[in-house]
Amino acid sequence: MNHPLAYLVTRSTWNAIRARVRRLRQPKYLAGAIFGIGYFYFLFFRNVQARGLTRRNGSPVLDLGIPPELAPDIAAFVLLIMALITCWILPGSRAALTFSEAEMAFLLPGPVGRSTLVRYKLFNALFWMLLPALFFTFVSGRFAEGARGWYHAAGWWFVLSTLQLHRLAASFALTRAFERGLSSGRRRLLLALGFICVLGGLVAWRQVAPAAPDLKSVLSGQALGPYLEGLVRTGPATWILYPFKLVVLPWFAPTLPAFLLACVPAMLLQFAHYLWVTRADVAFEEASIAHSVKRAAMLAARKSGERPAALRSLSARQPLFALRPTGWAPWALVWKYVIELGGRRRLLWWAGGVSVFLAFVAIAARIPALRPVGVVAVGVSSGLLFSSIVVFPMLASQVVRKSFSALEVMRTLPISGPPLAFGQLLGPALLGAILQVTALAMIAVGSPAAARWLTQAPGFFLPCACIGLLVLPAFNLVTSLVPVALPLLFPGWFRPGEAAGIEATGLRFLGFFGQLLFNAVALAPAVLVVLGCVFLVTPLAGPAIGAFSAVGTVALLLITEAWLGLIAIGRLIDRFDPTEV
Amino acid sequence: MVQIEGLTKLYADFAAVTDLSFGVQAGEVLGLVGPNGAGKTTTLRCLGGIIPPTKGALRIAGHDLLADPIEAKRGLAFFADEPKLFEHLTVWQHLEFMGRLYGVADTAIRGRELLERLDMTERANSLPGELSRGMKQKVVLACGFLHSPKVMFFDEPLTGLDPLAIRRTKDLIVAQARAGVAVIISSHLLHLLEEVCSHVLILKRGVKVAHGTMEEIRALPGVGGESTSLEDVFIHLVGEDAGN
Repeated sequence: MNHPLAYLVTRSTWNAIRARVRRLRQPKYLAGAIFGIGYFYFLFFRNVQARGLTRRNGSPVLDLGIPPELAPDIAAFVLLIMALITCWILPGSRAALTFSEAEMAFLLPGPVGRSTLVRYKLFNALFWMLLPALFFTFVSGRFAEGARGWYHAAGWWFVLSTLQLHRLAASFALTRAFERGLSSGRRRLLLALGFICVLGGLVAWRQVAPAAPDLKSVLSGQALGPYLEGLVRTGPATWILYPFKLVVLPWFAPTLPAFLLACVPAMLLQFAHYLWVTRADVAFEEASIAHSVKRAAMLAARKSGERPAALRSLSARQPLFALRPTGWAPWALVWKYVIELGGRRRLLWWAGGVSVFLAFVAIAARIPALRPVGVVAVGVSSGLLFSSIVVFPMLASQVVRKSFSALEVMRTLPISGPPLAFGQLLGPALLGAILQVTALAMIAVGSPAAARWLTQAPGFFLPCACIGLLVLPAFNLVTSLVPVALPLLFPGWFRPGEAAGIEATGLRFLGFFGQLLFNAVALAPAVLVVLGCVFLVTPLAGPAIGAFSAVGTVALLLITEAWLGLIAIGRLIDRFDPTEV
Repeated sequence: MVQIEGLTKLYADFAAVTDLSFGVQAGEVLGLVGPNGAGKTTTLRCLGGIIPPTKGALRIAGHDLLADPIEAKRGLAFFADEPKLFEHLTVWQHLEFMGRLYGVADTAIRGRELLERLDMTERANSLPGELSRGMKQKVVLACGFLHSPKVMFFDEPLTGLDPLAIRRTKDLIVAQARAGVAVIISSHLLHLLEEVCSHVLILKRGVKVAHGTMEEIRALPGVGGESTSLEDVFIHLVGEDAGN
């Protein structure tokens, strides 16, 4: 590599590591690092290191009876498919190396040749491929196998880096083809035709290949192995898969000599790719600049807590409802939130789609042949309902963090903190409630038992449901109090887009556990009320009064808690100094 | 020092710059002006070797930029509108890096001099995250001046600077020109160009509308004469595009 570029990489890496270590002097990062490392060790690595991807009794998760000697062929087949899709079919734009803004400013006008730039980016990418290689080896529990773990790690690196090199080489080749007049559509057509030809060849070959086994014999673990062996060891598959097999073989090497032997052809293939890439004199600069500018904008958006511009629709959106010029001012914030969500058209499409799906699930649940649809819908909806306890507060805290950048403007508005907090959080709270009601409705129509229970007790179900509609937004507001309050209380700890890393992950987990603890405390009175109504009121006054009193008191409790919480959050907003962010 | 013949840059079917020819001699400061989308940045990027032109011949400091890009680039410095620095290199390491990139033998001496001239000596070991925008701009200037370029390109050099920094940057540009550097500045700040530039080139939709010294431009038929400001000249020549 060119000397100054080696200086740039080594110095930058060393300074980044030093900065990472130095920031551990700050209590927030130290706490985050300790918590993050502990979390990953106890909940993840320790278990995986002990068992790998096997069941507790040590047997593999899925045993299809595939002989181990066939594994390289299957891995080679997977690599072939990945290379085809990610390198040749999906890419649509011209060849682009991604540069940081500083690299663009210093290297592109600097006395650095095109091939040097390509080599610089290439070596950089290959070096950083070590991280996923080590990570994959770690999570698959291979390091428990001693030296073999390191062969696996190196094997991962060979696979990932060759794929990366192939992707770059393919993008250069495609750019050349574009320059000669081959459009994206024509290229896909050519590839499709090629694919059809290969498929035709395979069908013809299938006449002489072994017959495919049925699903039952596959699951019994008897038939798949011999069948696959017949496929990959005969006919064209042998030589089509051969180069891909060379790439994956180091991963499977059981001993050091076998590993070294497997490395030779894999390295030769990499070298061939390297020559292909560095000798292709393709003008990548314009596409690289466009790509890098887009990336920089996305990073900047992420840092300010906003959605990246590339993911946002740039067309104007119709509001769901008209905003009157006078009235309760925070309602304007809800109106704005609804527009940000997608505007009238998208929301109506969603509502229509969900209604149709609800009707479909309701019908399917009553037809024995389609009953699994209802079961799946109920399962998914229950999962959504449960996860909304976590997802909604995240949504709310995102809204607040996003508003940090606009807080200086908001502070100039003639609205005090509490209504401002209410206006900011009401939109996400209502959205969460709508999703929760939809999930509940899905459970009601998808589960015959729930439907039977509803029809047997309609007298108090409907009033309870109406009161319940009040409970859900209040519940969402209460569960969002901690994630919203934390960035306001400790702005230095929760800067939007703060650097990633195990410390940042640990910090997020700390916040998450704090939130769970608060939710447990905040929701405990409501749970006690429900238990009291079930065990005290219901036996004395009957199920209808018991249910009414439970739902009513819970609604009252949660609304009070939400109201008090919003006043507290509002006061925090009033006292907040935006310069601390 | 800078010689451009028939520069054309196409983006698909759109012509950002069409058949542009001009030259800048040592010691001259050329102001590149035009409404948004006139092709100023595209021209500068082509001259800086950042993007390849579709057509045309570009010579920088005696070297053909297309045939011998490395040698041509050794003689130029490009200053973008926003100061972009490497996140994990200190100020001094930026200078060391640039020194090696351009093969500056006396990087240590020149680097120290430049930091002193720019009041940045105490910030030598700071990372970009610890610097204000104006300080970052100074680092970029120091990096650009380090290899004593013969040609300098500035794209909106005064954006976001405070009055003192504007004054200093203007003085630096003029001092560089007096030392024999050929300078091209792209800017919308016409009063600045009027103060600093010896020549002006006005672009409109990628085509040259006027080129010459300030006096030559003012003397163009119908422009208004000696006392006319560059702003009036610009509005007269560019017409309704000026507000874009």
